[in-house]
Amino acid sequence: MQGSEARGVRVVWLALAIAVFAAAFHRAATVRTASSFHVGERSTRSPQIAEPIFEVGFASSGGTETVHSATAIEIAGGDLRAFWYGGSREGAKDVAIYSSVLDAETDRWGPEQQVTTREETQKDLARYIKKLGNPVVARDREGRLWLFYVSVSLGGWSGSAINARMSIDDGRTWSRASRLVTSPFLNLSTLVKGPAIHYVDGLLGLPVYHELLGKFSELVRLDEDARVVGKTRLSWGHSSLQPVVVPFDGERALALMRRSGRSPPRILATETRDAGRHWTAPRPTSVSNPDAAIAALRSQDGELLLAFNDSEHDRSHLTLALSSDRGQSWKNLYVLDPPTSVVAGTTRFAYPWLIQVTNGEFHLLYTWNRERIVHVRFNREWLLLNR
Amino acid sequence: MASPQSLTGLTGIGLLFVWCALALGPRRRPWLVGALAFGLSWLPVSGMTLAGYIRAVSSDLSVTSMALLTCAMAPQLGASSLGSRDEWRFVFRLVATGGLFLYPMVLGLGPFDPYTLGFAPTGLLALLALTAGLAWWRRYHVCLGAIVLSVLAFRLDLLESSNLWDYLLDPWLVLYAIYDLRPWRRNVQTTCEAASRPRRALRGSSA
Repeated sequence: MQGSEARGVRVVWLALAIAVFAAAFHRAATVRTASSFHVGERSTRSPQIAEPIFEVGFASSGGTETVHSATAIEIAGGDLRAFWYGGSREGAKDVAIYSSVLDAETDRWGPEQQVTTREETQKDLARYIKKLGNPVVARDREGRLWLFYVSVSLGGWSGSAINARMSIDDGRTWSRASRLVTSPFLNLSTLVKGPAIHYVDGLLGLPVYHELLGKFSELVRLDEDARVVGKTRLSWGHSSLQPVVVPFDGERALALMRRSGRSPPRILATETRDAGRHWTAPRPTSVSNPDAAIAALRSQDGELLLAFNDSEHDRSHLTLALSSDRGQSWKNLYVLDPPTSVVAGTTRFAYPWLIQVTNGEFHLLYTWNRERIVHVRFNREWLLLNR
Repeated sequence: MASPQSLTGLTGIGLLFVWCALALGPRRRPWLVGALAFGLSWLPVSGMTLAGYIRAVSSDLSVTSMALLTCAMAPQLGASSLGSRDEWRFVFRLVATGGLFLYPMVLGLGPFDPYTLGFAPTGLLALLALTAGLAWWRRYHVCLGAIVLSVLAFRLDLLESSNLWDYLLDPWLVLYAIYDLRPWRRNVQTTCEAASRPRRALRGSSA
């Protein structure tokens, strides 16, 4: 190559590199990196006197042999839309994500409908999908519903990745699935269980967990297209799963996690005082945990409500507890009975999901014996009665 | 119709098909062999392309991998060898160093997660710009091209990920780089040399 020609090539390379890096720096500078938590308005009106409500029923109709991992959100008209996964058995190829709507006026669940299947997800993502798992529903600041759900292409749940679908009509129709990339290691082993939170700048915060080599939790920040634009580690090591993040204000939040592995059989807690940029080292709370999922929320009154298995060994009971001091101490309120008379065998309560809707009522959904999704509706007055 | 990001991912797997075909297939008409292999990767089996099955396991290749694969195949497709032995070793040292820094910690070793550096990657881009400048200075155009293409793809969101690390590295590339740099290896054979003698390279024999 002639000297002048070689110099020309080098100049072109240099100009190209400078242009590309300038564009990339510009993009990097526009990524939203830090924001405060968005916390919904607390109730300031004086509480109206109401009769205590406590009702138990089934959200799923038994249309599939097994069901698991319910999630729910309030939709238009005060109705409640729930999702879960169901099929012939956990991990089977026929497992799909199902949904049903609780009519607020009639207090009855509608027929369950298939929201998405393994085949549909596979087609959307242009990659083989072996099975589907945990769904989590969230509403973004624009009012759109997002359904996040786990899928596995190879191996067990430790090979999971998270997918997202969006709905602009409260869950009647859904966009095609997209893939969340949360790990550089083949994007393996990220799952969801806990409800999403909001940031002031419009981002969603999705609590996730990993269980490949380590078992640890993270809070992933998602933009308006559900692309991962940041994340923070809530814990590390081999002992914490399925985080539930409860913001108190713009800067402070508590994350509660399922304990796993060799750590003490207690729910683990970590806190932030800078909107999730840093989290304290996880500490065991006084609350038992037999390596099982939990649910928690901050009520309109500002108290924390917790649903958990009050045992160190099994999931045979599901208990509601309340904390008035931001999770420093808990008072057990109520132990739930099995939804039907159990003649023989064990009964297992798993994967609770708690939500408080606009009218102040609470809804608890959980998996019972992997056979049905149980729905429990109660109100503030019932809680006060059981304090 | 797959999304643009999925098309990029499937194209990466298609390049792997081509690389394997050129390494294992007949040496005559390499362009035809490569084109057939690429076409094979898009062949649907039970409603899913072959590349889709591989991608489910491999995840998407990084843009660096795609660029280096293309460079490594160049001699077999009639072009001159790209990159000197020193340059390829330079590239693989960078890749191995990046991978050994990144992967242990993202898998949960310790509280720090270096993957977060790739979301708003001003610092990482500055480091890359320095590396690209060094590569330009030393006339390492394969290295420079791989970096520039990766950064450009990141800017254009060509992969599903919005994290710069995923454009730069993938575990397969890191494994190959470590394999290529293995210290017990005698008579180092560069990837370009391996590409020109593919059957021996795939068997892992030293030159």
